[in-house]
Amino acid sequence: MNLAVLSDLPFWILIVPLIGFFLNGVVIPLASGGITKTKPMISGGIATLAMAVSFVLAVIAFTRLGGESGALQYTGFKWIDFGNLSVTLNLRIDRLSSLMTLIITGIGTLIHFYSISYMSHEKGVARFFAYLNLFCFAMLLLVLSDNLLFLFFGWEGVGLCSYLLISYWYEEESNADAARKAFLVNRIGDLGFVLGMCLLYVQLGTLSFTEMMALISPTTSVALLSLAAVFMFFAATGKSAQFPLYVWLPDAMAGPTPVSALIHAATMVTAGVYLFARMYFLFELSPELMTVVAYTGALTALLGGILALAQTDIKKVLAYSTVSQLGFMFLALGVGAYQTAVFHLMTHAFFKALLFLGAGSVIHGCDGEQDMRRMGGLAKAMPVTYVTMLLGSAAIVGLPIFSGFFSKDEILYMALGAPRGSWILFGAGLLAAFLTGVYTMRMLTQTFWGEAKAGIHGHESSWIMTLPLIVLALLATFGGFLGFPHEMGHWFGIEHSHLLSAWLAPVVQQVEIVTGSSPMPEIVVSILAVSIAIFGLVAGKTFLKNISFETSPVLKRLFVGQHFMDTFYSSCIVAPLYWISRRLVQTFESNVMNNIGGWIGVGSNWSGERLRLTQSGDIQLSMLSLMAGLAFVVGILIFWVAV
Amino acid sequence: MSQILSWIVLLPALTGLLILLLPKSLEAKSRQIAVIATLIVAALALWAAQAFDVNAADPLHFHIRTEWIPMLGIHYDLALDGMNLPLVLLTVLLTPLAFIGTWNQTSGDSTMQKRMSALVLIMETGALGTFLAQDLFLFYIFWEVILLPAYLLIGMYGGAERMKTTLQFFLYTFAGSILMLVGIAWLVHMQSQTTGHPDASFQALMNLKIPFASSQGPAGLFSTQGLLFAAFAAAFFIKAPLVPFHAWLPSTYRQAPTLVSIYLAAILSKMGTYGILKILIPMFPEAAHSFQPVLMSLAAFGIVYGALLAIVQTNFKTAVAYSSLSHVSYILLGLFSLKAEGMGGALLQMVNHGIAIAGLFMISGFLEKRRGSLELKDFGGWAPQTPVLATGFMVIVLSTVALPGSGGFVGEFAILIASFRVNGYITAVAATGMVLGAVYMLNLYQKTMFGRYVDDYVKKVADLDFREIFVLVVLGIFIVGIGITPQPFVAPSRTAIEDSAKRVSPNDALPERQAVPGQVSR
Repeated sequence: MNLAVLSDLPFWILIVPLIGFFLNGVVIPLASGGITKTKPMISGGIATLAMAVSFVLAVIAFTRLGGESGALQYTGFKWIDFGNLSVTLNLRIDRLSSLMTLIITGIGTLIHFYSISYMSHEKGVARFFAYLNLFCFAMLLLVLSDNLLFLFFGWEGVGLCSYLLISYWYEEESNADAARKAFLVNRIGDLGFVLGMCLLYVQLGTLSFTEMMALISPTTSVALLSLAAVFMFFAATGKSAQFPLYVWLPDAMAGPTPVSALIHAATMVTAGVYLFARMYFLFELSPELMTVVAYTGALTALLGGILALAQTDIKKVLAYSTVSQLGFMFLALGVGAYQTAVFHLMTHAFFKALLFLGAGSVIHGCDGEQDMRRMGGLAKAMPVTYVTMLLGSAAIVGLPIFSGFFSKDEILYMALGAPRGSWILFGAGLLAAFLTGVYTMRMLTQTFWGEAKAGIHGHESSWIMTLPLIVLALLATFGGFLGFPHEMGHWFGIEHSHLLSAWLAPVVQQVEIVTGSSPMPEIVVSILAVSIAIFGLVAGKTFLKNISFETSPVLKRLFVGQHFMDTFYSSCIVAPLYWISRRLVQTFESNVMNNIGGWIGVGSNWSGERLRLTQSGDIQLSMLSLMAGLAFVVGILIFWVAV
Repeated sequence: MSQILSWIVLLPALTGLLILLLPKSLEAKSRQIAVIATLIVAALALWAAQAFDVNAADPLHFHIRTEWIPMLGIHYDLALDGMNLPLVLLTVLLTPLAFIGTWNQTSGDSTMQKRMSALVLIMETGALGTFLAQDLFLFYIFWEVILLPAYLLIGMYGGAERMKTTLQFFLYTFAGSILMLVGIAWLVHMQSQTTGHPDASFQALMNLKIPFASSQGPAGLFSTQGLLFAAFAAAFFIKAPLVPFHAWLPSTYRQAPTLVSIYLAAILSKMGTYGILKILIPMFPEAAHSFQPVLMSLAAFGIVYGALLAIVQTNFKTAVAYSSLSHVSYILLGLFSLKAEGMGGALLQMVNHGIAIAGLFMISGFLEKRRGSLELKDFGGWAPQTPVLATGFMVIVLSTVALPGSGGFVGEFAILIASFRVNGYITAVAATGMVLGAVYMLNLYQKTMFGRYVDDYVKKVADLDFREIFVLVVLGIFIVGIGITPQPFVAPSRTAIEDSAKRVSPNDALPERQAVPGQVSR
């Protein structure tokens, strides 16, 4: 392949899903005589094909990146050039974008394929696949853009698609509410993004990553740039569902399950992690901020774990589990282990997509039932789903050789050994790992094991749904070997056993742990973490099996359903906002503003009189008098100028 | 074609007068005649636009200048320039679309159709003349041409409270006009005193040195320039409107018939913002600088205030009216930043807002026609029945909430960047409009399109007809087109606005970006 075609690769990777969106959004509905008459096989087939093509192109791009600093650059067009504002749209695939592109298109293809069967009973399925393709386009733009502004295009674009897909079944008011909540909470975060972007542009005069990096050196210490980093972190807490803005993610489960797998687990919610990895040079300017990031991550990991325990809806368990795992990633980011965060992003994409699709298969098999208390004994009825879910669970819990084992242990090791790490962060991480074991086991116990409940029999899903499960199960099982720890690699005589780290090293920074500076070696951390996780599993199987927060009024109030953060927002933000607005309408706007009309130009009596005249229908008279007045004034003014 | 601008400006009004004279038997054809006339005007304007040369030595294209009233220095003086080109195109394209989009809503009484068509055509002449005038008196005359038709249209064909509303609208705008007229007379008088022969053209007046008390604060207001600034500002702020000059707006937008609401919000409000860009800022630069903090704060306040009021409205059209207040305040924020990219962003935002608000009022017309009400409690669950309406509405919502990829984002981004360079705190307040705007727009969308329908009428609701789809598709193309490649839309105005910005902010070197890296302290 010659160079000219290579440089167009980023463009085609990006544009193929958009073509799929166009076909499903416009052409297919027109051709089949209305969107409700579209067929899942055709719509889904086109959408999946678009993603598959994009994936193949992404693989080609991956193989053609070239040396360490190699990148494929696509020169776009001058987006705007006006006054002091000048931005060009360029796409760029470097090693980090390449990895992200592979994850998005690869997992995207699997989930599109799965959806063909999952959505086969839906009317008007073209709308679903159009949104799904549009989402992938926006997500790819987010990772392919070479500057912050177009990253923001993707950032808000994925938010829009998330909104459209959460409200996919919009006849239910609660689904529409959930979608709006997701959009608005993300918008609050995006406010930070916009202000951060303004600050960066005003300070640096560019939004291109490479140019910004060149302008910001590690020794730079500018208060305003740190403030920009704070704003960006705020934006990331919205998109990546960190405390205190995580509240939208559990509600987002109102969307179809493949959406939860793709958007609310594997890709969109990791955009914040990507932003940090992409702009580590900015965030590293402020170690204080990064400490806050680490503690926010730890807190989110714990809170997500606790809330996951309080759920009875299988998708909500997974949603809070996602919140918790994203917390792990932010914990890694906070201590400066950017590569580790990306590593966990990748393994989490594998096993969480798997768990969600598995849950989707369970829900599908139980004819739409999502309450785990009404399930049980499904292992026999759904063998493929069961086995793949087991593998996914082993991965998320972090049992040895499964992918989560490598990435989570690395995070814990970094939380302890990195200069910004601490025992508190490490302890929080361990506790969260324990909770992971408990809620995962609780989920498995309630759904697959034990006695089957009356009315729910369950049946295995079609091969279209189980095939993606198998592929993802393989990735979730073996994907972790891409990040085999260096230290342990040496025992087997392998240099650079951590392939992912070696791959990312030229573009993403990673904090170094000097040998001996960590309170414990990595192997001890691993053993500790695995023991804790197994302890969690055992606890989840035995004495915490039937844990229910409903029995304690305090716990129920704090953690079940509309939990304490939701209550906080509705009573401390939403209610006052509406109260102020209503007061403004009732007082200022209706009294003060409408009376000004009576004060200006003419006395209020006069206008009242005119009012009565006009209300008797005599428009001409009042117009005539006004015109006469105008003529008089104009006459005087002309006289004045002329003389 | 040397008189092309005269044709563009006068053809609508001439057609309007012709329509008024139509015999009863031909009255039913009045709208067809009106649409044809507006399409001819649009074609002429598009031809003129494609002949527009950004690099021409003379920025005034198709310039027509004839003495009209020499004693007062008044000229019939029209020209297409970088600043008015986008607004002229907005006007000529939106007028036929407004007719087509509201086609079924004005059906019935053919006399009413005749009068409405004629009066709207006269308003088009007023708007185009205001934008194209290069003489201050001529500007004023066209400015006033709007007033009477708007007054009559609301008074004759508005909602239940039309009489009170139209009088309030009239009094407000008229008060502003009188002050502007006084200002114009004073300005031309000064000009005549200085040079010996009166000349009301913009070019002559720009060269005038108007004394200003340089001290900050209220003292500046009572110098000559301060008072003149206030006189012109009154007219423009009322028309735009800037909070707190907006009391006429909610009831006017709500009570006016859809066609007139579209015209008022999309085009007439732009006359006010255009006046600020073309006259207020370049003619009174010191005053503009001196009042900048107050004006920017008011604009930011207006963004939040309009949005908060929009959130709690229970009527679709009133909510849209307040959303317009909020979005026009963004335009004002950009203008008062006095930076090139801010003023350019504001000009682009005038176009974007014109498109989006026209779309919103059209949607409101579509809903009202189908439901016979605009109270939100009467709506819900339309999306499955009217997928095309739901899709078109969504595109317009996205531009209104300034989603990247829509035109609305480009303008708001440029405005926020410029505003940030002046004052970060004001910008932060203004930027909250991003969130609040999403709150009320998604509320409106959800309460009409999503959820369960309130009663069974929904099953009989028809989706959009061909005309309505056509209008939304054209608006949608512009929304997305501007959002993705804004540069061609802003390029013609660039020189004019950068020159204007240099007048008012001489120290804001252009372009500054090469120099910026050195400013990063290490």
